[in-house]
Amino acid sequence: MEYGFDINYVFDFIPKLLSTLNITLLIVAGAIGLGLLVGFLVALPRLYNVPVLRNVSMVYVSFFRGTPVLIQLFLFYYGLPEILKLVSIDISKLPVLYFVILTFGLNVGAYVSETIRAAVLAVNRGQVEAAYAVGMTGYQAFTRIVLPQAVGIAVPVFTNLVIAMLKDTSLAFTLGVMEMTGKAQTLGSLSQHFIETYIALALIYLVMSIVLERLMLLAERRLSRHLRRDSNEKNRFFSRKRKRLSLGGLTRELKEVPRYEA
Amino acid sequence: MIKLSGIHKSFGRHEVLKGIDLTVNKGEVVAILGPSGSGKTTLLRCINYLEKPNDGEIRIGDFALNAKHAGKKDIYSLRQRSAMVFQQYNLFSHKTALENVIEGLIVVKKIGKEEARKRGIELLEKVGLGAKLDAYPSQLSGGQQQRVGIARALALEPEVILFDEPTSALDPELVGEVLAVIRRIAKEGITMIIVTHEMGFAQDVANHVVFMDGGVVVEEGPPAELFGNPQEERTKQFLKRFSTEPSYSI
Repeated sequence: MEYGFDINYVFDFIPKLLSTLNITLLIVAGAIGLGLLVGFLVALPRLYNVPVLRNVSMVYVSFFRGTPVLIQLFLFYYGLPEILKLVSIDISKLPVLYFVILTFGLNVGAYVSETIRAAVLAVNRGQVEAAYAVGMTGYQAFTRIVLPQAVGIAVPVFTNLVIAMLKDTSLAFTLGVMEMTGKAQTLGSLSQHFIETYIALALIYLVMSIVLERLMLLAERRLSRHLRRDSNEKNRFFSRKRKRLSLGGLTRELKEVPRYEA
Repeated sequence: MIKLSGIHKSFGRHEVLKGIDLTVNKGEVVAILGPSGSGKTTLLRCINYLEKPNDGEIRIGDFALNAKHAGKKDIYSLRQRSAMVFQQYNLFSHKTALENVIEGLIVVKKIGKEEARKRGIELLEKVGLGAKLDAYPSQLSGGQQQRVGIARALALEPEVILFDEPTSALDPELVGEVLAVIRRIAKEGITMIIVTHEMGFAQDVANHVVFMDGGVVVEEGPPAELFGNPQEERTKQFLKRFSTEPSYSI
């Protein structure tokens, strides 16, 4: 029974896997950071109908949304150095992690740009007119009136993106990055207890997803407080904090996500 | 004084305004009446350039803008001389009533936050919403939202306030409270141009009534004359619906 299922391995592997958590989180943070920046820049030409740039951004979005992220990783890791070699820039010595973050960042950027575009278009046009009528410039109307509301609208979609990104980091091991999945692969091979490794790995991803989800929910509540009718939300907020994390509490909270009333 | 001359506006091939001339004296309340599609709202929106006229000149006080060569700066200057109250209120929904009122003071007029707050509170009290300073638009009724909209317009101390059918989206029960506020500020001598369907209100509050149809001014004059003794056939026809009992009974 040397290779039989042993639950102790699961508990044993969790801390070992967690030792590579920082790499996973670095990829998530780097990719989301880069994605937000790129996504915002890419959304602008389509929102403002800038002739040529609009088409460039459309091609960019359809490439990153229309091809598997795994292929994108391979293309960037193996292809980019070759292309840059043509203009005599040598990046083949660059750590893999840079390529991973760049690829994921550009991938997330495509989704972020669409999210931002949809959210901005969802803000009532009348409020922009009101801002103009008050005497604001286009820039002031965008940053003070449109953007704060668009961010609130975009948060739930953005939550999905962050969680999807977290899980996609597991693809980085195909390029040899020692993040959590890569580590699990090694631990499994060494111990021959693959099932236990993957259970431990799945548990960690699950817990992290739940934590992220709850954090984003807090952001969502804060950013959409103007849509709620009852004004004593602060009290409810703190009373909930004291409650223990439970699945029941989680679903109850999800049901209470802002009501969109006219 | 506000003076519009030769305002033309087309949407595609459809000519909505066919050369409008209009003069509004300081302190005057002008009501613009007319059937749907007559161009009255478009005219109002041309005055603060929410709609770009194809041709014509807009003069507010000492500032004149020609539609043929209007730069961004000119448009901002023009807009700072007017304020607008919208049919759909268009309050900033992520800001409280008070923040809505003082937003323009802080961002456009660059007034200090404390002073702006003081003025905002005064104005909200004036429109009867002193107890709703921190309410978000979603927590206010239509009538209350529109009164915040009026306070927001007053805060800017514009040379003219443009009202675009301010009561058309309201519950009949809430129309009264909004009209009462408009009536009160009209007495203070603020220049106003009101596009409205409330005939009784126009007759009562306006010093000057303009009747528009098909993109032209058909007839204008003091309310007593226009309502009591309209000269044009089209005006008579339009006003008949409001002055006589309906031919049907319930």
